[in-house]
Amino acid sequence: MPAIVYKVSGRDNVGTALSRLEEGVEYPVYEEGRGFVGTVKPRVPIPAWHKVALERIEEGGEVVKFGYVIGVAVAAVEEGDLVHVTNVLLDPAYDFRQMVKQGLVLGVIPVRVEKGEVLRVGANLKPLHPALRAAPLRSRVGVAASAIAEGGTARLGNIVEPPPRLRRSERYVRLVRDFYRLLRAGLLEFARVEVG
Amino acid sequence: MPPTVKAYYRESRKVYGVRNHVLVLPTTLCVNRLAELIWEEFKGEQWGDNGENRVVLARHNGGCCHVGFELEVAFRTLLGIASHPNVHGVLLVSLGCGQLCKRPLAPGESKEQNLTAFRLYDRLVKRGVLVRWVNVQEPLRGSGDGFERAVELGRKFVREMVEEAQAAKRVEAPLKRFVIGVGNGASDPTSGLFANPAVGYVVDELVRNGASVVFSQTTEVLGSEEYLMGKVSDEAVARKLRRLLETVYALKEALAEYVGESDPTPGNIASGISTLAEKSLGSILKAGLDPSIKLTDVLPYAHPVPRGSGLYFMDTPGEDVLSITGMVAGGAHSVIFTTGLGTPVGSVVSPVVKVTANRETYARLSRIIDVYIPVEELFSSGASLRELAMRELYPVVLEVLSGRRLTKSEVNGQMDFDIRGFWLRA
Repeated sequence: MPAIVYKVSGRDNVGTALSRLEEGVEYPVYEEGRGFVGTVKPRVPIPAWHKVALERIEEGGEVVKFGYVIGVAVAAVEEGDLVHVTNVLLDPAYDFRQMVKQGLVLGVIPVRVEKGEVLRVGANLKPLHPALRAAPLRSRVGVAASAIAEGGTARLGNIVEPPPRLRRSERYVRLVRDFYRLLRAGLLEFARVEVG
Repeated sequence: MPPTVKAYYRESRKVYGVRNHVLVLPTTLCVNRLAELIWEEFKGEQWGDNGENRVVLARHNGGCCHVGFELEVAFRTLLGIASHPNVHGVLLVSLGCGQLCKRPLAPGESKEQNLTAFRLYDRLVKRGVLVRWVNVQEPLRGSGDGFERAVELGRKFVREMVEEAQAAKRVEAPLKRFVIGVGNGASDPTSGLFANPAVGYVVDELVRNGASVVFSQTTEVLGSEEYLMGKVSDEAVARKLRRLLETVYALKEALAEYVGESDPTPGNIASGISTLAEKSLGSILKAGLDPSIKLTDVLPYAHPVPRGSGLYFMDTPGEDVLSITGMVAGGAHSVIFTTGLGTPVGSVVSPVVKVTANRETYARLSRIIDVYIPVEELFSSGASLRELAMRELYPVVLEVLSGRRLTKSEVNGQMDFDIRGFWLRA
């Protein structure tokens, strides 16, 4: 694919890199139905098929792709920044660009962490990223931007899932969860569950 | 002037089929091999102007020991596939003791007492479907082994139906008599950016010209509520949709502890997908981009899709074969299916048109993929994605419907079909 940034809809504030983009080089932006509409200069290298910000997005601002909100910025994003998944807000001590260059996964979470919990090396984060291997035990890496399940990975970036638009039935969730808990504990067997 | 399709008209059912297949359908998984033995006799036979019709075999892993709701779904799926417009006639291969088998009444047993067993056969007859059956456990007249007699009898019935089917001719029919399904699987970044929106433009055109279009894969639409709710203009449809999504969200949440990390998967993240919303929007744009086309209704799995223009959403698993099977059992004459990495998937009675926007995948797997959307032209010639889709895909869909072109899935003999189970499969 050519080194072009593809914008799906006129409303989008992020575009997709069709191949790897270098830092500081100007690339054309193509908008579906309109053609070439301008340029963007990445501030960090953008891997192929990843998103680059086409304008500044404030902290808490909506990230729009396909003409729809795909997430909320958990930190301010500058034009030319990589926009990608996170569950971790990184502490300023770590060089964000360095992390991006070397991959996005920081480590594995051995025990479930809740939103807002501080992530520390060796405590609730088993580091995988080369930049964290030399970090002293219990050094603070960042804060969980959302709950991370046991065995999940701590990832780096600047965008989180937008809040769900549908009201969920808490009662039903609890019911189903209890069902599977009992099943796993061996207190319930399929044969005894009535269906219909 | 909306385009027309040349199709087979079935007087007894008042439907048009785009193929004229004869279907061999086991009513329970125990007789898959028997059904296969009957089918093997007709393996190489093809008829129609381009050899697009044949004897097809719908092997599956269900039809027995279903409970409650699951039995209903198995019944609807078998009924839907056996009475599919693309099927000229069907041979039901029964064991005898299965839940959905056709078998003679036991001494003293009334038809009412044995309702399930007769329901499939009786409903097919009532619908005007040409149906024959063989039954392994029933003592057949004549001497010799009962299993072999069942094979012989089955082959005799199929031969009769094939001879009838060969005599049929295609006639002109308006697009509003047809149902088209859309789906996607084995996706990559080109699917969400190019292939699915390209299909979306074709879907808009099909609906505008009177066709019914159905999309599915419930687990993959989670996260695109903004799009879906924008497609709803009717309060009753909105309620149905909300209830369905709430249930699936709840199930997914409850299962998350067991399945591990939920969407987007580590593989998605590595290829640049950040959130569930982004992932599902890339997938759902195949249901159309014209905001004035609204969702007509939300349908349960394998429920018949009404003909005569409209956009329908069917609740199916995200898995390719089961989602295609659901839509085809609902009456989809053909399915448009996008892929990025490449998949050979097809359907037993309906042609599946596979589309990719990944040049390398198409070059490597053109034996299983029908259409390539040449996206590099967007940047060189200034053509829009809509123009590319209307030029490369739309005519192919119409040609496939009229039998002038066989899909790769048909050429490769992909007779994919299965019965949906509800335990530990989403």
